[in-house]
Amino acid sequence: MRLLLVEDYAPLRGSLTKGLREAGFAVDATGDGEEGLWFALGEDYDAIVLDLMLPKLDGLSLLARMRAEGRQSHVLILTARDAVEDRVRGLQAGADDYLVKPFAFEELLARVNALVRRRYAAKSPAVAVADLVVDRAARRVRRGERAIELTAKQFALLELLALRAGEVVPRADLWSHLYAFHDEPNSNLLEVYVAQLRRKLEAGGEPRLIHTRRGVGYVLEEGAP
Amino acid sequence: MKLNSLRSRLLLGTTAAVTVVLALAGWTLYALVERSLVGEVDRALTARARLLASTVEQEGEFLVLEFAELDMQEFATPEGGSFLQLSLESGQPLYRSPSLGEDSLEHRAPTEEPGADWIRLPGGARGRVFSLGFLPKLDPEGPPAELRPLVLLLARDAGALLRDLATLGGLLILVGLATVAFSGGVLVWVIRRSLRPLGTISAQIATIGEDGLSTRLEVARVPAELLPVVQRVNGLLQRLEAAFARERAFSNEVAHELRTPLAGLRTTLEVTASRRRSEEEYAEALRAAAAIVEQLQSMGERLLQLARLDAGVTDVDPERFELADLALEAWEPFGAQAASRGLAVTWSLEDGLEVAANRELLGLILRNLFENAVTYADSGGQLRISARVDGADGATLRVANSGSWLGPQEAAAATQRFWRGDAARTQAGRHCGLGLALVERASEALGMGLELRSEPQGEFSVTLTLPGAGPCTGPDGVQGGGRRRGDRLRR
Repeated sequence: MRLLLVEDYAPLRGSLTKGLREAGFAVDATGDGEEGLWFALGEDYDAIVLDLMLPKLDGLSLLARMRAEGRQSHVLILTARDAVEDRVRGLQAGADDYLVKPFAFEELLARVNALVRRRYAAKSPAVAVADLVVDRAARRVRRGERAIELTAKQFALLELLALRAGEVVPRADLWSHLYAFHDEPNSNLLEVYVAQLRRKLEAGGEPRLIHTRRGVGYVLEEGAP
Repeated sequence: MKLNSLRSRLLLGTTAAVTVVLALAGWTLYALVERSLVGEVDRALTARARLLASTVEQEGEFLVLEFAELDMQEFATPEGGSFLQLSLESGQPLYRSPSLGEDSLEHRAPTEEPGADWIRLPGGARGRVFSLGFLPKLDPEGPPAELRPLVLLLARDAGALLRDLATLGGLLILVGLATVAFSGGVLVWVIRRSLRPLGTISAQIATIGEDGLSTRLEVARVPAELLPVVQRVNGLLQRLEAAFARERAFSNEVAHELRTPLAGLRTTLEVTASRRRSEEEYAEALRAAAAIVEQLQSMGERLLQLARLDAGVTDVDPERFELADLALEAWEPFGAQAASRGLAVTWSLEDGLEVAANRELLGLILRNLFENAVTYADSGGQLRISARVDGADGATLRVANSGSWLGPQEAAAATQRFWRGDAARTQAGRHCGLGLALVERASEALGMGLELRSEPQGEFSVTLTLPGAGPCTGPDGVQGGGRRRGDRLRR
């Protein structure tokens, strides 16, 4: 999942970036409102974690400009202001959720995951395709009774395919959701991850679920050729 | 009744005054009436005595008392109430009226100013007596004789007069008491009614709590005497409301400012603890946590210093010392940071410039000014620190840095607590928007002037006016100064 973090307090930004990346997100992070807007307009993020007090462009203005440009990424506001009117102002400006500092990292993670689910209209954290179950909350994958161990990148790839199950996901989408702006993956790395994923998912002799649509991308569905 | 209450004091004071006035008036009236009545009796007594005396003749060795021949019923018995006694000047009685019986009137010499006196009459009653000294008429037809001076004592029972006076006195006392009682009642009513607004104001004030400081006392129906009190209470409430609002806003700011570093600390620790990591990763996390703790500590210390300055418990006793010594001492912690940011620092301190100020507080001011300048100057920019004598009895200290993007109004607002000139929290480590607020508060405590300016070409400067500063006077009385330390200290 592709995530944008805009937070001007460097120690918090560093720790959040680290924690979110370890949770499997591809994170772009900046401490500057103008740069944050540039990122938000340039990429289709699954979620944006946005501080309100920012240099150059404050968080609410960033949010308003982003919405005015038609960007519909889900936004979690992160701020030290806890008054009801502050929350209302943030939500009215187009935010989807609000978290007051200081917070438990686990809660932030849960809220970000909830926003991502909303983006893909999935109410349950678990997505099932045939006998494959991808539990996004517990970050576990099962095929029938068999538990499957995946790396963070493999999980992120499967997660996006599962959230858009039955739909051909373009390579560019998969790419941008796996890698942050500054990462520079090899051109065939996506194929490598897909191959690894297929091997693990089919290790018990189960039928293939990830299918290639040549020249377009990949689709997760049952029984397709 | 509480003696220290306004109502009791007004009531007792006014009642006492009314009582005294009524007593004086009554006594005066009584005295006037008594004098008038007694005078009337005395005048009648005198006229009668003179009339009786005019009927006494001397014929040779004998006295002829013509009045004894008259039928004067009032002298016939004691009940008649009149008594007459004729005596020689020596007091030897010559004649006593029948009403005296065997008794006699106490002899008293006639005075030059004829007048009546009080006397105890036979039978114990009080009366008025008039003593008239006279020479009897000489009978022109009788033999010549030496006239002997005589004394005529004429007394009259004053019982009726005294009873009338007693009645008058009693009446006056009764009327007085009734007047005091009535005026007391009226006073109680008037005082209660007059003091009712006090009770209303008191009740209004009693309802005002910490959350009701926006309430104002009604001034529409307040008596003129209480209007200044109500207006002052309203003024006090307004000031209290503003002070409480400032306190609340400041507390909120403090809470907000603490939340972000706390969030950073918590997230750093939680993310680090979420899985097993290498020794290097743990060490890096600890360094990050320690940096945040240092920032929190710095903020806490500054808040404490501000609180002390606000409470006025900071020592501001002045001492004389050379400004350059303190400035260089205060600069020590920032030299390395300035060098790492590539700042060109130019010093221009007038040599031998002494100030009279509290060294610790001025040091606090300088450290905060230097930290602010080093933190907010643009990388590779300029820092200028200068001090010079300004006027007869003062000096100015100026700390300026390049790279400011503040407008003139923003520069003036930079002393507000937690102000940073941007929605940004901070990317400047220890700085938390309290440094210039501390500088302002400390300079106020020291009685120093403070001016913040931002020039269009990007120079931000803080100028401190130091009263009581000047070139130091050496032991031989020769003034030092005139030279500058600029070249020697330029970095």
